[in-house]
Amino acid sequence: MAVQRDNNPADQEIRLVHPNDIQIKPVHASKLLGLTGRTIKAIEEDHQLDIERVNQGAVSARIYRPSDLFDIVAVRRERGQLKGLPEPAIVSTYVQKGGTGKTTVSVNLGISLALQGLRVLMIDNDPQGDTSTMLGYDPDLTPEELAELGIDPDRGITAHLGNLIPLGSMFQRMTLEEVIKKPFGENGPHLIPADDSLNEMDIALRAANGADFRYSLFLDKAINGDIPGCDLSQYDVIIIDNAPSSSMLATNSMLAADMIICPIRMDKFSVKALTRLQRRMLEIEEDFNRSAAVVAVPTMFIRNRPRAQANLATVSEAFRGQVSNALLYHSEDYIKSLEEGIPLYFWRSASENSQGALRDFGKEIHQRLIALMDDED
Amino acid sequence: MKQRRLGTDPVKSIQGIVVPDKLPMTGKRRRRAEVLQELGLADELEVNTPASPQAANASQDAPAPVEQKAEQTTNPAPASPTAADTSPAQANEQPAGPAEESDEFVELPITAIVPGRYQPRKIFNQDRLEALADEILAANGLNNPVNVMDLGDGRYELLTGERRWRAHQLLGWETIKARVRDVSPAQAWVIALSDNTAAEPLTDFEEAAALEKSLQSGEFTSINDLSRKMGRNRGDISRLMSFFKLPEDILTHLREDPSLLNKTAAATLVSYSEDYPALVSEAFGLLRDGRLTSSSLATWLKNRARARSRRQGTRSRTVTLVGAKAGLTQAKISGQRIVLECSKSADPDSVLEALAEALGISIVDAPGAGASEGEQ
Repeated sequence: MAVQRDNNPADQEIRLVHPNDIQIKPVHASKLLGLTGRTIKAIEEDHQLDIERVNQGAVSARIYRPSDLFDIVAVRRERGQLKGLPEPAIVSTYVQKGGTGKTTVSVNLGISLALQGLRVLMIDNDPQGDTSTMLGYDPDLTPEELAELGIDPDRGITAHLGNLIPLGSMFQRMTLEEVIKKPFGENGPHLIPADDSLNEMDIALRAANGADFRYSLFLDKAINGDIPGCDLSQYDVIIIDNAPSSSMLATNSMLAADMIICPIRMDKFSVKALTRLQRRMLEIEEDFNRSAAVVAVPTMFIRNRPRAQANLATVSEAFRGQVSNALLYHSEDYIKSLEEGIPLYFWRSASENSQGALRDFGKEIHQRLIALMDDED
Repeated sequence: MKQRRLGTDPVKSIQGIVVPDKLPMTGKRRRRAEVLQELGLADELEVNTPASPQAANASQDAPAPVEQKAEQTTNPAPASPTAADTSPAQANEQPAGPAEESDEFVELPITAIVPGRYQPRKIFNQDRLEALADEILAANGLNNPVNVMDLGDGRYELLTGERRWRAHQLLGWETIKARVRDVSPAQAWVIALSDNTAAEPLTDFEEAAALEKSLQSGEFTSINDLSRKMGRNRGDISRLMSFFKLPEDILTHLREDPSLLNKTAAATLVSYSEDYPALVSEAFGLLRDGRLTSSSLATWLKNRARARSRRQGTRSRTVTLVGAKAGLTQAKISGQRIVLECSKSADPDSVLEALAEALGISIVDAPGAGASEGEQ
């Protein structure tokens, strides 16, 4: 959620910056799309994409909104220059430890994969609604309250995953259309948001038959387009962001996942959490002959510390092939961009240290997903 | 921390935490559905509980997109052999045509066909038309049908093949083999021009005029855009466009006879037209009368221009007119032009009249020009 500086301090806390209001300069757009400015312009001309211009001194320069970038990506995908995955993948971001950067990793990964041409659905599976917040929605205010404050009521959250999964009568069943949010327009990542009431899903899940597999059941059918009013077949990747707990919600998302991304810091607790996750995956594999690929991603990594380096070396050896090559370095950028309400991936003041690392991470996960979904069967 | 060499003992613990001695097998991945089946959960989900009327609609519609998808995937396969069946001549006829539908040939009445607005060709050489008619007669028809667009009122507009159509008229045939194409105006421009550059060459001016017209049609956003879609080099197009920087009277002549100037000669004339307008029209007159060739044009202009500027001394200078009675204060000489500036209190019109009287010339309004500030 973003706070826009305002003269009236009373207004400060409740001004939400819309994520699609982010302005991206041409140079930055090139970097994000991995295309030269010339190619981007050619695509704009060919498809009559209108890009806003702002005056910069004597000349006017293009200013891109995130949705413009996703439109360009959609054009390239239509032309066959970008491809989807061999099969749709479910990625779950999970570690049973707080503060390692799960939400940051999920949101920026979603943006990154969408910019690489995949159709992305993000599911906020955390009743705190951090993913929803990072994408510009307010889990704490009702649409009516927002309207009163002069904010687009669409920024409020009235429904969540519980309204989509057929499961008892705890939540009112809704169609995907009623639940889904599109923070960056049609071609950007979509979001199934969450708010506090998602907590009650835990109870509903426990009461259900096959309690651990309700997400698997739902997603498997929805991806096949078998659930009326909730067709998820258009998506290449579904990214589920979890709370750092071992609730039924998290368990369900782990069992449904093809890949689990586990952000870890190089401290004892993180390593412990990763170890726990590994044991859990081993058990699952024994029981069901199926387990997700685990990718541990070192976050808040400090380059120059010999201790951190040594720990990374040990972890990489112990979890061979399961630690990402891309490291997310410790940086103030994460906190600053969050404060401004802009996902770091789009934040213009970000350094290569933070943003470049996220891009590398996104590319690596994309490659891993292609390999993973290709050798399934 | 102790350094460990690769390939030695596996890591047993990190920071005092015992790590699993075994990693999950990353290759052993089954489908979710299979696991669910095994657990007896496959039919667990009550999928038929639509929440809203929207969902009810969706449930009826749900199978449809799947079928469509299947159709889409099967369609392209039979489509391509059909395209291959058509004659090779057609394949090179449409280098720019994306997503061509494989339309069939029809015999259309000659009278139902109207010449196209996309036609760049202006010269129809009678002898060559007759030669073409002979060829068509010999081949007993066209092996390369003309392309038309259905105007919807029983008439068909020609996209390509005006010469072939005229040849049919010469032969007195009643029908012509044609392909009815459903194309966007932008594609129509591309098809018309690419067809013609492949056949009897167009003159540069005809081509330039066609490009200019297609640019003005608004179907192309820029020269860049045009260059990409026509598959023509951008520099080529720019050079062709320089025709339109020529003085209006030269353009009038060109519209009558597009073969008078090629693009190189046009560009040469344009480069001198600003500073030496008189020389340019003289040169064009010589070219038209055949007394100067295109290849010697550049040298001719260069020599003449050098001679003139030598005669005039410095190419550009500003002089102050001291003691001028009629209210003139400054004169600027630039190449062949003299720009006179009046003092604020003077009326430029009366200054001009006084000047004309002094020089013994008469003043005639230039066609199309507004109140001119300078006098040449």
